[in-house]
Amino acid sequence: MEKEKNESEGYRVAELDRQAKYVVLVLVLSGVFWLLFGTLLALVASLKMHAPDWLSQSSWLTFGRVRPLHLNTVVYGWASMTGAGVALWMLSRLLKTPIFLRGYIMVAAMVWNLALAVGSIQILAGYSRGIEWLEFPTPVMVVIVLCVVVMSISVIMMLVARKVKHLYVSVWYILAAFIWFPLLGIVSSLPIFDTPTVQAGMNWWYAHNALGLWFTPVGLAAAYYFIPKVLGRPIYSYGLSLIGFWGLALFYNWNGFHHLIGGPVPTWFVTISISASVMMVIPVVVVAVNHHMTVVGSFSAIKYSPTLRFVVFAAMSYTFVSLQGSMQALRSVNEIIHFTHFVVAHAHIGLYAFVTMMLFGACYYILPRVLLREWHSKPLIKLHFWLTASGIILYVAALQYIGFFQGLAMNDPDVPFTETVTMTMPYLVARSASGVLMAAGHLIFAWLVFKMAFSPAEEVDTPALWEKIRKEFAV
Amino acid sequence: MTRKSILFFGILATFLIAMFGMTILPKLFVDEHVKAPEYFTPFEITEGHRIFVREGCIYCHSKQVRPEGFGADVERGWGRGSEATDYRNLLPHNLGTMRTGPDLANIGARQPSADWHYLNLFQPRALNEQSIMPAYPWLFEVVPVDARPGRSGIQLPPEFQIEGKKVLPRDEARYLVTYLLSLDQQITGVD
Amino acid sequence: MGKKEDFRDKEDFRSMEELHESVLRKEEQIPEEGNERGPWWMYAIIIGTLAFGFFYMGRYLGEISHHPHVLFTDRGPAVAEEAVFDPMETGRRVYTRVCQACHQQNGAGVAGAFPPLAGSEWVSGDPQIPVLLVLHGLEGEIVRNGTTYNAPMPGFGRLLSDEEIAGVVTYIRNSFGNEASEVTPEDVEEIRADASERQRAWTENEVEAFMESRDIQ
Repeated sequence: MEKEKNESEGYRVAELDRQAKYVVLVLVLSGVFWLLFGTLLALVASLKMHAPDWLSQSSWLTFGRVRPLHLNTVVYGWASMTGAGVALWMLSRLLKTPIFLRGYIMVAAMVWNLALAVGSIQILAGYSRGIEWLEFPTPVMVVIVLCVVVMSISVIMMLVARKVKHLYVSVWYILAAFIWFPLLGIVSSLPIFDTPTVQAGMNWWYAHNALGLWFTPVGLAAAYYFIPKVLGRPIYSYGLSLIGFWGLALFYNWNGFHHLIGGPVPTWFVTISISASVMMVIPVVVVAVNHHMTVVGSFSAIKYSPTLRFVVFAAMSYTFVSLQGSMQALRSVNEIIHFTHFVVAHAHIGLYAFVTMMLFGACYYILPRVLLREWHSKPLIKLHFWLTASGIILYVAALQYIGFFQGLAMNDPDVPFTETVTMTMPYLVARSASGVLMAAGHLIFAWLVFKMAFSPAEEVDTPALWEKIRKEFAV
Repeated sequence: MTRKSILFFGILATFLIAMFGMTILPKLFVDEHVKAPEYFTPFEITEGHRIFVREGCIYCHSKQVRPEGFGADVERGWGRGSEATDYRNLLPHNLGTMRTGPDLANIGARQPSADWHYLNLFQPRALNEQSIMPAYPWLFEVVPVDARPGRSGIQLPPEFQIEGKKVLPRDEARYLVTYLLSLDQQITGVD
Repeated sequence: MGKKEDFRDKEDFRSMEELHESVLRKEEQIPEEGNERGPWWMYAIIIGTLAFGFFYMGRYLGEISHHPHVLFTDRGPAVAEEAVFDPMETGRRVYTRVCQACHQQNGAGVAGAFPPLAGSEWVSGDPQIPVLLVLHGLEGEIVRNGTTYNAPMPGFGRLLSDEEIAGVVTYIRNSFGNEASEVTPEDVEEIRADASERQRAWTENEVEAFMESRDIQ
C-alpha cells in the first residue's frame, strides 16, 4: 500500500516537472546566454583597469560603459532570469501545483530578453540612466519589471491553488521575492526623487534591496530546498526558519543608506541604516545555524553531489558576506574601505559566491529532472566547480587585501593619490586572471547546459554523482 | 506557516514601512532645503553633465567629500564636507562609490586649467604615466595644422603629437570641461 | 570487481526510465522540518546584536534634521593646526594638491604643455615673480629650453591662503635642484595687497616690464 502511494506521488512530481519544462528551460537558457555576455564584458572591463589604452578608440567599449553593462547583464539577465526559473520550479514542487500562466511566462521571458538587448545597446551607445544598478533607461526597466509581474501573478495563483496545507520555508522566501522585486522596480522608476541627494538615497535603498530582497530570498529558498532534499534529512529547525525569514524582512529593508556614510545625506538616516545592517547578524546567524546543523554529519556528501557542493559553498558564502557586510557598515570600518576595491570584492561575494554558485547548484539538480536526460560529463562539472570556486576566492582575496591597504593609503594625506593607484596594479592583474578562471568555468557550464538541452545523450545513463555512488545521496 | 494572509501582510508591511523610511522620509526632510536656491544652470553645464554621465566617469570618481575627521578628504584638499545644496539639482545624482581616481566634487576649484583637462581627457598618460584613466579620443578631432585657422590645438607633449596635425576639442569635450570647471563647492555654498 | 568502478555494472540503475523512477520515488516529499531549539550561543548572539544595534542607534542618531555630517561638526580645531608653520612641509602639501598635476612631482613639467619649474629663472629669482604668478596666473606663449608652451596657468589667489602661497613658493624655490631664499607669509600678504587691483593673468611681456620697473634682475 505504502509503496503504491509513493509511486503515484512520484509520478505526479514527474508530471509537474514535465509541465515546468519549457518555462524553466527558456529562463535558464536565457540566463546562461546573459551570463556569457556579462562575463565577456567583465573581462574587457577588468583588462582595461591595467591596460587602459586597450580598445580605447571606440566610445562603445570605454570602461565607463562596459562596466555598468556588465553589472546590468549579470544582474537582470543571468541572476534574475535563472533565479526566476529556479524559483518557479521549486514553487511548483513545493505546492504540488503546476506553474500557472506558462504561456504568458514564456512570452514574458522573450520580451525580457528583448528589453535586455535594447537596454544593452542603449548603455553602450551612451544612453545610460546613470544611476548605479539602474543604468537601463526607465522604459527598459519598466518592461523588465512587468515581465516579473507576470511571474508574480503566476506565483500568487499557484499559492491560491496549492495542494498542500503547510507552507515550507522556501515558499515564504519565493513569495516575498516575487512581491518585493516588482515593488522595488516600480518605486525606483518613479520620477519623484528629483533632488540629487534624495535620489542617491533611493538609489542605494534600491540597489541594496535588489540583492537583499530579490536574489537573497531566491538563493536562500534554494538552500532551504536543496540541502535537505539532497541529504534526505529534515531541515534542522522550523522555528529558526521563522526567525531567519522575518529577521530578513524586518532588517534588510533598512540597509540602503550605509552606502552613503560620510556623504551629503542626513546623518540620522545613515545611523538607522548602520544599526539595521548590524541587526542583519541575527537572521544571518540563525539561517547559518539552521543550514549547518542540517548538513553536519553528512559533509562527505559534498564529495558526491555536485548540487550539494555548489549549494554548500554558496550558503557559506552567504554567511560570510553578510557578516562582513554588517562589519563594513560600521563607521570606523567604512572610513577605511569605502571607495576602494574592497567593496567591489564584497559585492562579488554576494552576487557570485552566493547567488551565482547557488544557481549553478540548482541547475545541476533541476535540469536533469525537467529534461529527463543526464549531464554529459562528470569531470567537467567538477572542473566547473573548481574553476569558479578558485576564481572567486582569488578575486576576493586579491581585491580585499589590497582594498584595505588602498583605503589606509587614501586616508593618509601624505601618500600621493597616484600611489593608491599604482599599489593596486598587481592585484588588478590578479583580478583579471581570476576572471579568466571564472569565464572558463562559465564556458564549461554553458557547454554542458546546451549539450544537455539540444543533443540527447543516450550513452550517459548514470546520475551525475562523483566517485562511488551512495544510495542515500541519490542526486 | 499555513496562513498565507499573515505571510502576505508581513511581506508587504515590512517593505512599505521601510520604503517610506528610506525614500519618502528623506525626501520630506531634504527637498525643501535644497529646492529653495534657484540655480541658473547654463546649457554648457547641463550638457557637460550629460556627457559626464554618458562616459560613466562616476564609476571611478566619486563626487562627495567626507567631512573633517572622517577619512582624509579634507586634508587632501578635496574641499569641505559636501552638503545637499552643492549639487545644482542636476540629475542623476552622481555621488559615486568608488575612488579609483580622485574625488571630483571640487575639481573646478582644484584644477582650474582647461588645457590640463583637455590633455587629460585626450591622453591621461601624457600627464601621468601611471594613470589608468581611459582616453576619450572621440571627444576630439584630429585635423591638419592649417585647418580651422584661429583655433590652436590642445597642448600635447612631443611624443603624443601627430606630424602635421593638430588636435581640436569637439563641442562635447568643451561642454564636459566647462562642467568640470563648474564643480566648485565654494561657489554653491552651505545653506 | 575491477579497479575502475562502473556504475552500469554495479548499481541497480539499468535504464534511464528506471533511474529516474527510482530518483523520483524519493522525491515525492517536500523537505521535512525538525523543531530543534538551536545552540545557546546563538541566542547570546541575537541578544548581543539587538543590544548593540539599539545602543548604536541611540548613541549616534544625532539630530533629526536634514543636516549631513552632524557627528563631525562640533569638533574643536585639530591640534595639528596649532603647530608651528613649516614652509617646506606646508609647501610640499600644497604642491602635491595643486601644482603637481601640471608641473609634475619632479618639477620638470610636461614638455610642450606645462613648463618646468626646475632650473627656472623666474622661480628662483626675485620672490615677487613666483608669488604674483601663483596669485594671478600666467597666459600667452613662452619659450623655455627651446620648447614652446602655451597653456594658460590659472591664478590661485582665491584658493590659497598667504601661508600656503608662502609655503609653496618656498618649496619650489628649494626643490628640484633650485636654491633660493625663503618667502614669508608677511611677504605674500604685502605682495597681494600691492597687486590687489589686478584681475587678469600675467603675460611674459608684463612680467618683464614689471621686473624692469622694479629693477629686478
